[in-house]
Amino acid sequence: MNISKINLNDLEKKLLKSYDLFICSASYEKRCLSIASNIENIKIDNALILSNIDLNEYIQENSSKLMSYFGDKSKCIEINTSDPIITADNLDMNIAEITESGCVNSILLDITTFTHESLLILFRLLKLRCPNTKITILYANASGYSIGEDFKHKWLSRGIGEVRSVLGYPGKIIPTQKTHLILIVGYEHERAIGLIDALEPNSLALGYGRSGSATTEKDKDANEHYLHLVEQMTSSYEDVIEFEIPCNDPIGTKNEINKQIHNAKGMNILIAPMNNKLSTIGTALASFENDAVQLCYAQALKYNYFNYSTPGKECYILELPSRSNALRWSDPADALRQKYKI
Amino acid sequence: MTKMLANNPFQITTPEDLSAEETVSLFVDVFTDFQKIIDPGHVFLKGPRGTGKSMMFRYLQPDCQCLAKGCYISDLPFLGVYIPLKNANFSLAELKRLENKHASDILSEHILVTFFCVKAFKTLSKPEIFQFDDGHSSALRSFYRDTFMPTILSHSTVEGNYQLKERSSAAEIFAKMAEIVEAMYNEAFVFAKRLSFRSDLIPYDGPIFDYSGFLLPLLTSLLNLSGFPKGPIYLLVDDAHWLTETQQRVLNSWVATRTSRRVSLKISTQYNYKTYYTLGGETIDTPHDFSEIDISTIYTGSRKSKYRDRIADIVNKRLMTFGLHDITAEQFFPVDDKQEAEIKRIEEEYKRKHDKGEARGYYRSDDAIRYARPDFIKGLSGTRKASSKYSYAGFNQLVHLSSGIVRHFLHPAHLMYAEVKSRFPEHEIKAIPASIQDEKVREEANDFLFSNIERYYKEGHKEALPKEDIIRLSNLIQGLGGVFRQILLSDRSERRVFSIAFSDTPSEMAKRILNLGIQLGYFHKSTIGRKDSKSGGRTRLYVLNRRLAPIWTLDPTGFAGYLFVTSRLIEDAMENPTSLLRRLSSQGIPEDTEIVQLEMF
Repeated sequence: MNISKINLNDLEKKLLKSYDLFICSASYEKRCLSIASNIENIKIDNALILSNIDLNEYIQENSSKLMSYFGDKSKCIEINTSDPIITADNLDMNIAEITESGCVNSILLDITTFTHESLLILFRLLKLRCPNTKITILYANASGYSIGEDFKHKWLSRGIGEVRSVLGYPGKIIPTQKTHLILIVGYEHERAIGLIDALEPNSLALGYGRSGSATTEKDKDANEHYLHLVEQMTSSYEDVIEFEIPCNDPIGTKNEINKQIHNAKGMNILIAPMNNKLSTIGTALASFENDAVQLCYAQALKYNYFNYSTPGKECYILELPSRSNALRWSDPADALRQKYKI
Repeated sequence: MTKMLANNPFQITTPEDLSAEETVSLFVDVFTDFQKIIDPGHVFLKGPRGTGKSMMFRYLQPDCQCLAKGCYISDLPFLGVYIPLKNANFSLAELKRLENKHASDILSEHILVTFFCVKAFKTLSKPEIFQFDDGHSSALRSFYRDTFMPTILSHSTVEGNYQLKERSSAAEIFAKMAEIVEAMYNEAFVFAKRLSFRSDLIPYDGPIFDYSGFLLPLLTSLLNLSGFPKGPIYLLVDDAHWLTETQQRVLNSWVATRTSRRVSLKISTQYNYKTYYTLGGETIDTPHDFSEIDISTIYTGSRKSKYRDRIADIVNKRLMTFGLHDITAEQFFPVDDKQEAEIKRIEEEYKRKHDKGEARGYYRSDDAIRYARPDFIKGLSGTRKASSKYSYAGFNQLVHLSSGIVRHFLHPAHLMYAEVKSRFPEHEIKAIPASIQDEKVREEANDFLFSNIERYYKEGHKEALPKEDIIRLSNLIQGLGGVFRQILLSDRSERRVFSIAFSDTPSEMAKRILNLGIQLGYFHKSTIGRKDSKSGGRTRLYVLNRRLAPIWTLDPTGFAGYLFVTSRLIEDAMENPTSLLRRLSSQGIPEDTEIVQLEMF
């Protein structure tokens, strides 16, 4: 699995001649247009544009633009930031419609402006419904964030709502075991503190972006906030485990998370990916290799709708091999059925 | 020294993670204030996070009780089973597929029953609590063979090797039973996982257990075995606000069964418990079905002095466990000597005035207690940067500032200790300098008011609190803080005021905003006699959280008075606190407000 960073102007040269399906998520960030506006319409047979209906007033304009890029090849899928069941059912239904109507050999997936939760749900669904499909992942960077605010007052989201497991990543939580939370920390330290306070795990590991692996400037600033997070946690956790992840490398992230999972054997392991989307892909890959791990998500109460980011000029491109061992789907029920000879 | 307190004597940890030895060494007995917790009967124990609910429950587990009482389980008056619900997997996204479907009730009850059962057996799988001879183990083996397994097999088609090892100990038998029931619990979740991407409902063909047919008879039959307590079993259900509404209705249905003489449910929750309805649609009510304890009311009401003693005991135990044997809480958190000497000097002046017959108070120390500290603060108000000159150092002040919540004492104390350690890494810390105590509590006060209010204001989802109400609440807090400050600096007979009550009928808006303040922790509620005492009855008292005191340099040590206000004044404060304060400053407190003195403590 190779990942490369290229200029958005060179994106066309790096892509295949055509893709059966393009998937992206409309957002209040202009960055959601970065990839789509740099792809020739002719390359794409079908385009699924995800739209969070509960954020409609903030994303409608960009959603319409995305739809117009692909014309009658595009279809809008309604998802909901506070209802993962609606998100999963609508995604599943529309992917099934396309796969059943013809062979889908290649998917171009723009992960830039998904929520972590909807990206993880989609990723699990693709593995389930399109196991032999070649998937190319794209991620556009940002040149700035929380525009117009000085460093101290920069923010991306405020508060946390419901804390829940991510649909499709239930793990295996055993009542008699203690809980270990692996938190992949990003810029949103306040949301991270809220998540830790809500879950109150027995032990805590914080993964933060390795120096030099930042995909945007905000990831560099995140380290400042990270120190604040650690300081806040010390009154409740005597030994906070700290580790680094390469934010720009999903496989590297997966490997680092796997080490942490290995070190927490005998505990219920929860992972909350809160850094960039590339590291969220790495988290999903790690959970595919460890069925017992549960992914969890803290819904933000509000995003910085009007000044979240400004688009950058580069993007990351990543090929996922089909039928990869890393993406093998296994049903945790099988083990139990075998054990009890059901 | 315990592992938990290896680096900082004020480390906060989940009680679930404490060993029996650590729990017993750190626990401060509070059951005289919470007698209903240790008496048979269903109880809802309400309170904010950090008030010690989980610690209380942890202490009631048999391993701690046996250690504390120096006995074995057979001698205990009850059998406490701790059931923490946080992280119990009940918020699994897949379970949402079952919400509002009839199967949800049945599967939710099964999941709760098996979870509780696993926790009960796990609690009893600790060898140190038993003193079983072969005869007792043999009785438990019979229970396993004749009661437990037939019950399991009558509900389950699951097969497996469940033979006990020869001469299994009681702890091993319970561990085996926990393992078996855990498999039943897991099976429900395996089913739930299959729902991830299925919008159609698939059939569940696993076992289904319920409370009255499975858990209740199984647990109560344990009590008939020799070597077990003859009293009831207490299911100590911690953090029940974490349950979904359906799961809470299941739990309420168990409360409604009124089986508390055999199995009592002791349920702790924060204030956001969602429903008191049962699965059958009836409500559960106090006192018929359960008793209710509000832990914050107890420690912010008339028994505040007990709270101080409790914190002193907690600090002293922690210091001792940390290896600081001869240091008391008062010595570890010293006062600002210069400031206290000056206050003492003012006190002596008041006493001399009393001796000359020039005092307002009846007793010699009345005026000294009532006016010396406010006079000192007043003396600072004319100088530059006055607000930073009053020091909030000293154990007593820190206790008052924590406003009835243990965690609000321990958290800043932890930060203070860490700060001293980082500044003086080579020194053994035997006290926290007054300047660092003051610095940390001021930071905490600012964070509590300004950062939190700003966060609530910026929330933008559809269920967020209305922005107008957040502004009104912020204004009200600022307005009341300012009013209390003006009173403190006045020549009134009672200057230490931190509470309000209404002299007329409060408007709906005033009630709504004050209730919002209670919900967010800025106010506590209590009751007092009505102003018009001839008509009798009581009225609501709203007490501003003392954590906020440093913002207006208020005296936190004894809020001995409360202010009767009109609804109009409160509404003025909500709309424009600056204008109100300017008006009060020039015209004085209006005649229809009255400061009433509470009894000293």
